[in-house]
Amino acid sequence: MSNRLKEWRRQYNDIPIPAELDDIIESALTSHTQQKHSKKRWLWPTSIVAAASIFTATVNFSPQAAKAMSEVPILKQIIEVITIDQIHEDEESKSIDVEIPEISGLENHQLETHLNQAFLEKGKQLYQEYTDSSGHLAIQSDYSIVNENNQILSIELHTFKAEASGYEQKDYLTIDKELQTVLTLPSLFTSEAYVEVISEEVKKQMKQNMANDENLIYWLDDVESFTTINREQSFFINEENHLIISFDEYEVAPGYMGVVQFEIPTEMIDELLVSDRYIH
Amino acid sequence: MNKQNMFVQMVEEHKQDYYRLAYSYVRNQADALDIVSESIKKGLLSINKLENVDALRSWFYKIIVRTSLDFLKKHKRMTVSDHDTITYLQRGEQDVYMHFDLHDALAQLPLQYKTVILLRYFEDLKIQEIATVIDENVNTVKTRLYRGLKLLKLELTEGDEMDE
Repeated sequence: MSNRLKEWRRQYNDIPIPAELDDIIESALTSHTQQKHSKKRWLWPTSIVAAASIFTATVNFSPQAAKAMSEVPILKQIIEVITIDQIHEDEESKSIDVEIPEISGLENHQLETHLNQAFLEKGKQLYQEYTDSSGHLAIQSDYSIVNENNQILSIELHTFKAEASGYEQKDYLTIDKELQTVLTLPSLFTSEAYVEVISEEVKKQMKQNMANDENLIYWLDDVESFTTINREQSFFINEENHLIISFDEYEVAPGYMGVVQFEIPTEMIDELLVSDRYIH
Repeated sequence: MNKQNMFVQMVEEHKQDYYRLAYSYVRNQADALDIVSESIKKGLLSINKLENVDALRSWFYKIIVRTSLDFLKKHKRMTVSDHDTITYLQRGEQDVYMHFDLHDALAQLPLQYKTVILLRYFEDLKIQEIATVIDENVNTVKTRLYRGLKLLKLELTEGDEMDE
């Protein structure tokens, strides 16, 4: 290599890297939200498949601790989610395609193990369903990061089963990276009042949406109509730091609506929040 | 590991390379940062369409290069790359050491040569990878490298090859 080229390569590598690069990369990498699945809608004519098995991770969480810690700056942990295992089988009349995530980098090893076991169990359970089935079953399950910032990491587990009919499910897991805990819906609020406030907001949005688009149907003015959210309703916090409430397929709407989600305006709930650490 | 995670990991590892490449086109810090950011967003949106993960690296370089070129077009800072420029560059030996500085030299170089030179000699891509990035065949890449080197008055010393 000529000396001049060597000199130029040195100059090239000396191009100063601005301090902002890391932040810009970080925010670009987390810009990707739920676009991956949000446009998918399935129309399945017949009956409802198996009941939802909601992925839950129960971990102790103290709202007081969250509030106290929120003012203390803590070095950012490198917490990663990778695919630890993949199950893929394709037979004549059935198939399975499952990605099993694994979290690493949590200092709270007990929590890490607990979560990773839950992910693994979920994968095993799907595989069991697959092997037990005599055919006409397709199972797909993968995960994605719906939001990550300095404080939290939200993981979406997306499962879709197609039998005679289809069933779509999205489970969310949100981790506070600094406090090394899993957020639950009750842990975000000071009292149980949020259940009613959010339920009313959801109903309001359902009505609005139906008025705006006649193709949308929620079970609202029906015998089995939606009345209230679960106190442990599935949720995540999006990049705008807003709370998103998620319902599984068939939970509040006909199957063709798939998984339905509602963004709760922060001003509706900010008086009920323990702190503005996550939602604001 | 799924494609998206591989992509994220690659970006984290090579972010400085991507920045330097973008900077070499626009020679402006803020614009280069914009290009890197926009490229990553484009990448995330289209990663699922990438069929062969082995091509991940050249696939993303392609996005960076295209985003940079689009930027130059939009801002009409495109280097003149007509015959006159080339003739000018080929003229008289006395100019050689006046363009000793990398950035000045690159600024004089028409874009089609600049891209292959940057990717081959500064980002260390293989000829085949560059062919993927610019959607041309291997021979075209070699020809452009050869001409680019000539324009830069860069002679490869013996034992050096364009390819590896």
